Amino acid sequence: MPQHTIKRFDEELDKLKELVLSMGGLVERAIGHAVKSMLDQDEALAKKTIERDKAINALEVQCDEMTRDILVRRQPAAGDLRFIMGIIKVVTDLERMGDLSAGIAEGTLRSLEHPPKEFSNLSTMGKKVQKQVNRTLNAFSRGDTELAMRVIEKDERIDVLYKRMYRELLTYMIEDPRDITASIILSNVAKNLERISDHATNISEMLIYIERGHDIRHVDHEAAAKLLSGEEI
Amino acid sequence: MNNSTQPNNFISDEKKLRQKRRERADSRFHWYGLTALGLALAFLVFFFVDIIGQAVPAFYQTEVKVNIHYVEAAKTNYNKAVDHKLRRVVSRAWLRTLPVYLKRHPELIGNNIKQWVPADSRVDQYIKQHNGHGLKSKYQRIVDAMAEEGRIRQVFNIRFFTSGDSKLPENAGIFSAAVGSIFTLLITMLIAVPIGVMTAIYLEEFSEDNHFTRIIEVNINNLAAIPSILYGLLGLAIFINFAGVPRSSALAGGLTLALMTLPIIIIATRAALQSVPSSIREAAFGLGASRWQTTWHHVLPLAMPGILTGSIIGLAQAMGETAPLLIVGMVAYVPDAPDNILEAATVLPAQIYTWAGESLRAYEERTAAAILVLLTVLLSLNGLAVYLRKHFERRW
Amino acid sequence: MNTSKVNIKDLKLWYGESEALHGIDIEFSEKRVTALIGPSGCGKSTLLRCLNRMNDRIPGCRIEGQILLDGDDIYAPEVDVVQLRTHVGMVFQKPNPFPKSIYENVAYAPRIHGLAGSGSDMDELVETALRRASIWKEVKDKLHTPGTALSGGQQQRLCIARTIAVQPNVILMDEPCSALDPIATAKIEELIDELKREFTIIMVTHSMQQAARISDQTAFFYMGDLIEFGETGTIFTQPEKQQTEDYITGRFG
Repeated sequence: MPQHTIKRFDEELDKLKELVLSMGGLVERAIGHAVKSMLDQDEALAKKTIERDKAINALEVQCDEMTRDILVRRQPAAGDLRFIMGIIKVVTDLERMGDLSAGIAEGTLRSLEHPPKEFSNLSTMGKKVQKQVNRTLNAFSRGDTELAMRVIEKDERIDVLYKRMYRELLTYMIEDPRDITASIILSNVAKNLERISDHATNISEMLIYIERGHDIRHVDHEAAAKLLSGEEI
Repeated sequence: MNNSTQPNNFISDEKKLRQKRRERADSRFHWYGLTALGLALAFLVFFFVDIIGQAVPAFYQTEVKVNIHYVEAAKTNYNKAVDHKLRRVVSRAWLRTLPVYLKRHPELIGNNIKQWVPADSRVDQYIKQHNGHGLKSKYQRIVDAMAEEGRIRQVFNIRFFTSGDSKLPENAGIFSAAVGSIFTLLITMLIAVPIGVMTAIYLEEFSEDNHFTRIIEVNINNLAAIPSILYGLLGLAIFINFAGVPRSSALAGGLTLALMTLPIIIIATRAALQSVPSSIREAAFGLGASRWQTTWHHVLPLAMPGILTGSIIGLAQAMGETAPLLIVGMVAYVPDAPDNILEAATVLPAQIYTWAGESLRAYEERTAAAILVLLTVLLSLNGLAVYLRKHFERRW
Repeated sequence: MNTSKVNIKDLKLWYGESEALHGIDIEFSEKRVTALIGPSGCGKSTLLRCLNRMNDRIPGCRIEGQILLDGDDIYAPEVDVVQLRTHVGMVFQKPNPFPKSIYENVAYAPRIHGLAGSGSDMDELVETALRRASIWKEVKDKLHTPGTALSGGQQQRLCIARTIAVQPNVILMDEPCSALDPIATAKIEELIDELKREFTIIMVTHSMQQAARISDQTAFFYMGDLIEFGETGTIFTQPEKQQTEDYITGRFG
């Protein structure tokens, strides 16, 4: 894509994108740390993760300010407009993901008094969700809609993982009521991970809107794939 | 605000030097301009003072109080009406009118009346103490004596405005020339203004921009720069030799001057039309007005002040023109005002030219007076042009 | 609702030897506002001026193709340009009221086309036109003062009143707000929004924000070609052509 006549505008858009990506980086690390703190029952790491969420929130405010500035000064249209609109949504999603990670870390703190006997497949799910987030950010930084599409497709597997884990935890609780507290905490953690993955999906959908101009948020995957392959147009 | 301990970016020795140099250049330029303006003004003032100084005496005529003998013999020889020694003192022009006057008033015969009569031009000039008055010393003594007796006075010279040209200066006036000028100018106006304005409208609003119209344009612009005497030759060839217009007539002169004025009016009108913003034309066309409606309703009214000014200035120029009229015979001795446009006539500038060539001293002041009259008329015309422009512009 | 009002078929236009429009096909819908956008010299104004044959006045300008107004070819030899212009009115870039009274400005076109006598008929017509151009309240007490004494925005609304006084079907606007301040511009835009209930409006504008604000459809021209034409919302959020995208996002040249 050629440069804007106003070079400053290009710089602002680049800066904004960088800011969003660095926010994404923080979120990615927060997820990893949160899950690790749970698995290792590491109090210090959990507290650090909760503390670091403030940085993510600060970045969100900064991004919002930049977006507002660009909106009022550049009055973006077409691709630029979609980019700005997308960023507004993406930033909210990232911030929610940060909050959810902090939620996981808080789960760790609570679970210290009720250490779970079994983490079920939390480790796998954590890795997969992290992978989803990582893919999303990569797709976002490169404008890679195919990768984004893969994220959207793979979200279903996360859902399956969550459901499986939920059932497993349920069985533990039925077997031994003393495990109930720990299992509820774990189940909440899994729910948070599942929602983090949902937000990653949102971001990927937004990316497709930014790049292609098609809104695929509420259509099923096949229709979305068709839209993107250009069959309908 | 102005803190002297702080270094000020606007003040330094080098900058001050430059400023001084710049200011010196400015004031030098200012003075050049003022000098030029002063010189021009000085010339103008000198010219006017000179002309007015020379012209004023022409508006006064010396009269002498003499015994007029209304005798039978005067009917045939007007010289008998005055004493022999006064024959060169009394105006011959006045004496000449006596026989006719006597025939009309036979009851005066045998009377001897002491009355004021116009003096001869030489006496007039002598009284006005002009050099070269040409009065013989014998008569000078008589006039001196009369002056002592209070038999000489100066009155307003109404004849200058009411009579035509004459070989006797005390009887010479600008009347016939003025009438000739009015006739000539009327013809010029009636012909040049409509034709010029219509031509300009056609060229500016209707014609397409092609080679033909461009050639016409160039020619019109060139015509305005042609020496005016050539128009006289053209007028002679076309109007007198070809069309058979009487020579020396106001018609011939008017037509010739119309030829000369035409390009000026066309150029002025075109400039006036061009100055009407094209947005006005677009507006009218956009509302579905035809070319003619657009021009007539919107463009012409806006161009009117310019057209009027241009026309009046063109006419004023025509009024002051002599050279082309020389060729069509209007620079001539025409004592009687023309009754119609076909009679021999002369115009003010031609009258000035004729008088300037006369040898008698009395004509000199009349020349100046006629110039003054002509200048007054021309300045009034230009004033009228300015007034009209202001008046029309004030409408909106 | 979207019946076609003006239909342009393969329109080519030359100024002398140079071709300024290279075969334009476009349909303008009735009672909608269509904005023509594009960089200077792209042919949008030229196209606009074809619609009421203002280009006829330019020597060496000729066209090929068809422009149909309600199905009738406006370039057919028997068409009277004067009549055409009562159907297709035009508002210009610079407000250009005649240097006459406000009343005369509005009454002029109806008078030369014989739409009303000079009595109360004309008074009524003038009032209606001024009301519809939302300027009546401002000028009703000074109808006989010069139109040129009004402010720029008022002058432009007077010009619009003058144009609609003859009840045209289509109003062409050639950058109607480019000489106005933002408030006057907003008033004109509001007026255009009102007018589209009755008139088909086609406007050229250099302000993309303006096109986005007031037009229903937008056509993007470049170098004498129609690049993209569609609903304004679509053009300004997800244009199909790269050139359109580049132009409206400010990435041109």
